[in-house]
Formats: sequence, structure tokens, C-alpha cells
Amino acid sequence: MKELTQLNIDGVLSDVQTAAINEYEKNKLFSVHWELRTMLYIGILLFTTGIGTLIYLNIDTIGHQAILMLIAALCIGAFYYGYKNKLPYANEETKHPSPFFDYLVLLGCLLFGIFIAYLQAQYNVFGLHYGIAILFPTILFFICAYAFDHKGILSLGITGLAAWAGLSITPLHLLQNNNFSDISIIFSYISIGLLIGGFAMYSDKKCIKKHFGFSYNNFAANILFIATLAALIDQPYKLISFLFLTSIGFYYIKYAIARHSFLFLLLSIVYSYIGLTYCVFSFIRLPDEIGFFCGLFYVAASCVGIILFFINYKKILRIEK
Amino acid sequence: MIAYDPSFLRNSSIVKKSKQWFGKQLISLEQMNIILKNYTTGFYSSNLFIKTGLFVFTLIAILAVFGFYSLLFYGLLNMPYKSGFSVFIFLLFSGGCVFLLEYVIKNKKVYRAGVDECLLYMSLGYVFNAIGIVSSSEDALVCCIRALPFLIAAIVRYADRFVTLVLAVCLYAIFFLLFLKLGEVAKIIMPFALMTLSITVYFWAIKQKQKEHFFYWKKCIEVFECLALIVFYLAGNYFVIREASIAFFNMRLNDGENIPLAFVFYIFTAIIPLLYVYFGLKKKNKMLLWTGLLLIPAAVLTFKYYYSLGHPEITITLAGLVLIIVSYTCIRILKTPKYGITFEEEPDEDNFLKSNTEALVIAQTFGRQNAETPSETQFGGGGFGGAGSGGNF
Repeated sequence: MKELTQLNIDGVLSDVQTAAINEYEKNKLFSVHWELRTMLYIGILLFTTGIGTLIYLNIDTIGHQAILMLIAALCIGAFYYGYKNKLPYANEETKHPSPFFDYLVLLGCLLFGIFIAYLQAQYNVFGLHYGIAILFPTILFFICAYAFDHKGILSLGITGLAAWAGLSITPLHLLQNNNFSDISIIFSYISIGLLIGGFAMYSDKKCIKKHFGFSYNNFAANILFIATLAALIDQPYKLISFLFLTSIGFYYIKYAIARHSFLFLLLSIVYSYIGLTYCVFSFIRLPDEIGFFCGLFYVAASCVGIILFFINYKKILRIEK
Repeated sequence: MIAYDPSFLRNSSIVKKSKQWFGKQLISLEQMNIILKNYTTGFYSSNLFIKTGLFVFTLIAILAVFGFYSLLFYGLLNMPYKSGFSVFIFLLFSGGCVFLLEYVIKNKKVYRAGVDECLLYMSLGYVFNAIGIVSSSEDALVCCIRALPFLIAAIVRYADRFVTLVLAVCLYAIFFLLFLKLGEVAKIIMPFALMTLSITVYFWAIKQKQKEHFFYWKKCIEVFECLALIVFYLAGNYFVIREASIAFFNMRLNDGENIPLAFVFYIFTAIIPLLYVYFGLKKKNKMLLWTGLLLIPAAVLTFKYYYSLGHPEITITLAGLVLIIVSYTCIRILKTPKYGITFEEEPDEDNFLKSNTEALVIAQTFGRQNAETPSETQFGGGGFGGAGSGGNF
């Protein structure tokens, strides 16, 4: 314990305390928390994969209805457990004492999604209305996410919402023609991004489940940046797209600083950098070889600039901390 | 010897320990404040996201500059790639990277921040390229031996774990290749020779780790420790020995034929991971435990490879079931600690931050300002004047 001796010599810790800490270090319990949790998780993963494969291979002898019944029964069981053991709703973050609660609730939600997908794939219950087939589980995911305070389920819900938007806003024939570069898809994704980002801002102001903000904003930022970059590169509305990209970039840099979130800082810088680089290369046209050299020079210089920004950003943005 | 500020390195380990003790309420809030204030680390070292970003951007920047030169010399002036001139260019770039690395460590106080790692790896990468060109007609052994001094120098100066891993692999490769030269004898002794070497390395590492003068290289020695455990297992693994015998010793095995001493190696394959786990728990050694846990699937796969029932789905289901049952019962049992083992989470820095009172924030800001002041005066006439102008702490 060199650290301890050092602190003792420097007079920060008294001899009695040093002895107490030494005693603690000697008899410290050995924690296998993460080992066991990881094992449990891998076990569940392997087991479900194995069962899934078994069912898939033996579908002829088992029959679809029996499997649907089994999934439904497991799903109801998981939700029953969740409902029985759930903590009362609170706007703040709640942490369930049982280590299994989160897993079981997530299992229930996943099974519900599989149930609906199975119904649709085998019996075509919803016909061509794929949107409705996705909307059902999505709504349930959102309810569960708030009721059980579960970030994983929230991510499922957000993904479902985006899928629903992509499917129902876009006319079906576009999908069939594989025409993904159409402006209406980009537009629908930008609106979803704005909706989710706006909702995150609203719930943050009203203090409703503030810790969900990260999941919302993570999704909103990615979808907004990607859709805007697609618009910038694929569509003729260059100026509007670029201005929009800049404004989202500014918003998320501000958000990152307010939250001390390095992830959002990185996201906004990288996406904005891609946009800027695209603009530089597509609007400034030089003859081939000079252009290539200038391009390399631009890449090197801008990368060094970004590195310096990351190292000094606290000073550049005048954050006193 | 070490490039990073030694007092900062020591302070950061003191602060880390103190945070754990504070989390367990072994030291008071005032003492924690004093520790945070007095044992400052002036390093710039960021979290994983920014680190990744910095690494990638540094990489792109270096490659862009390199592309600039290679385009000029190989593209426009048509220099041959395999020539003394290429070696010169590679060594020049390597030296440039080291120079920049020293500069950022000294003036920007970066510590494991993505930039320094990238510069170090790139500089070594250029050296290896040069070595590759110089020794293109010779065998792997010569390459490994030529790379050694550079790797050792890099570790002594920068104490990087990844470079240590490369060095360890390089040393094992040299041992293996030298041993191969023994010919027929090597075929039989090789597994045992590698195992003996690993045991020696492991106990050497355990002993050296505690030594005061290896304080900065503790993590590097742990790399050796971990690799020794893995090689010890692999050297005794049935699959590895069988395949290696075919690849390196031209052994011809028909179906149903077995390697010599197969029985012994089967036992090694099965029992070593379990022994690792057992001793990991007994000695409360995380590395042993984790290595053992990760090697168990390797052992299972080895047996499945030769004695498969042809139903992987049943194997997966059963394995999942076993894992669930074992981990569930262990969690249940270890809710109340037994034999000094517990399911409770260890107090780490995250816990510390969560359970922390606001009071510490003040101490931390104060501490950090203290640490930043000296670095600011050294900026001098850097190209980013706007950066330092606001700072009058």
C-alpha cells in the first residue's frame, strides 16, 4: 500500500486511520458482481438462441399455434411478474432492488414484439398495414418504459416509432421500388428527429424522467444528422440543408456542454465535419493534381484543428470548470 | 525514463485509491477535499468517446501528411518502393511522430488521450515498415529480433499496454522460432517448453509487479502476466497442439489417428480453466478469474470440435441453461458474502461520483485550476492564441 504510506507520511491520514484502512484492504470482500451478471446475460442469450433454433428446426411437429401460445404464456408471465413487483411511478429515476427485474421486464417486451411479428408473418393479421403492426408494440414499449423505468425498453420504443414513421409516412410503392433517396423519407426522418428531440427538451424542462433524455437525444441527434447529411449530399437543396446542419450542430454542442456529455460533443463535431468537408470538396473545384494536394492538406490541417479543439475546448468555449 | 510526469502518475493513483476509501467512508469529507486539492493530476485525459475521436483524427492527419509525401515521391517522381530512400522516409516519419509525441506530452500534458497512443503506434508502425523493407529477404525471426529494441524503448518511455502486448507476443515468437531450430526434439518438447516458459514469466511478473521501481510499468507487467496465463493454456490445449503439429512439424495425421500423449493434453484442456477460476476465487485475483472464465468456452469448443453430436442447437440451449442455473444460484448464495466473496458491487469511481456530495465539486474545480496554471504559461506563441487569452485564473 504505497498510496496509503504516502498519505500517512504527508500527514493527511492519522496513524489510526491508516491502520483501519490497512485492515479494510486486507479483509476486503472480493466482488464477483459483474462476472455473475455477465454470465447470467450470456446464459439467457444462448438459451433463447438455442430454443429459437430448436423451434425453427422442429416447426413441422410443434405447429404454429402451440408456439404462439407458448410465447403468449411466457409474455403474460413476465408482465405479471413485472406488474406485481413494480415500484410506484415517480418522475425521478427509480432503481429496482432485484437484479432480475430488469431482465424479466425486457424479456416480456421482446416476447410481445416477437408475438406480433409472428402473427403478421404467419397469418398476415394486419394485411398490408405494416404501420399498425409496428405501432402496437411501440405503444406498449413506451408505456412499459415509463412504468418500469427501463432505458432498454425505451430504446426499443424509439426504434419502433422511427420504423413506424418510415413505413406509414412513406407511400408503399416507394419502398417497393427501393427508392430510399426520396425527399419524403428524409423529411419524415427529420420530423421524427425533431419530435423526439423536442419531447426530450420538454420532459427535461418539466422534470419528467430526466435520465431518459440521453436515450431520446442520442437517437434524435443521430437521425437528424444522418437525414440532413443525406439531404445535403443527395438533394438539390444544398444551402438550406447546410444551414440546418449547422444549427443542429450548434444545438447539440450546446447540449453537450450543458450536460458535460463527451458523446454528444463527439457526435456533433464528427457529423458537422463530414458535412463541411463535403461542402469544401464539392464547391471548390481545382484542377486534378493541385486539387488532390490541396485536399490532402485540407484533411491534415482540419484534423489537427479538431484535435486542438478537443484538447482545448474548455478554454475555447469559455467553460470554467 | 518515463515521459509522463511521474508525480502526476503517483498522485492519480493516490486519488483513485482515496476515492474508493471515501466511498467506503474510511476517510472523511475534509480529508478527501485535501487529497483532491493537494494531489492534483494536470493531465489532459478524456473519456472513451473523445479518446476514440482523437485517435481517429490523429490517424487521419498523419496519414494525410504521409499521403502527401508518398504521392510526391512515389507518384510524381517514380521512386521505387523497396529502396533505401523508402526506409529513410519511414524513419523520418517515425522520428516526426516521436517528436510530436514528446511535444504533446510535455506541453499539452496529454495522458492516454488518444493522441499520444496514436502517435506512438504510428511511429512504431513506420519503424516496422522500415524493418520489413530492410529484412525482406530474411525470415520472421530476424524481423522479430530487429523490432525488439524499438519495442523495449517505447515501453520504457511510454509504458503503453498495447505495445507491451506486441513485445510479449514478439518474445514468445522468438522463443518459438529459436526452439524450432532444434528439429526433431522440438516436436515433442515444444508444449512443455512453452508451458515452463509461461510459468516462469507468470511468477516473474507477480514478483516484479510489487517492486517499487516498476511502479509506472505495473500495468505493462500485468500484460505479461495475463499473456503467460493464456499461452500456458494454449500450449496444453489439444486443438492447438494438433493443428500446430500439422502446420509446423509436418506431422501427418489420418482420421482417427491421435497425437502422442493425447490423453495428457485432453486433461490439460479441460482442467486448466477450472483451476484458473478456482485459484482466482481463492486468491481473490480478478485476472486469473477472468482468464479462466473466458477459457472455459475454449475448452468446451475444443471437445465439441472432435466429439460433436451434430446438434449445435441442443448444445447452445444446454450451455445457456447451465449458465443461467449456475449464475442464478451463485447470485442467490453470494447475496450474503461467503469465503470473502460477495455479489455486492465494488466501490469504484462511478459509485464515488454517484454517492458524492456537491461539496467535492468545489474542491475539484479548485484543484484543477491549480494544475492548469503552469501549462498555460508554456503555450507561448502557439498557433491558437484565442485559446489561452481568456485564462487568468
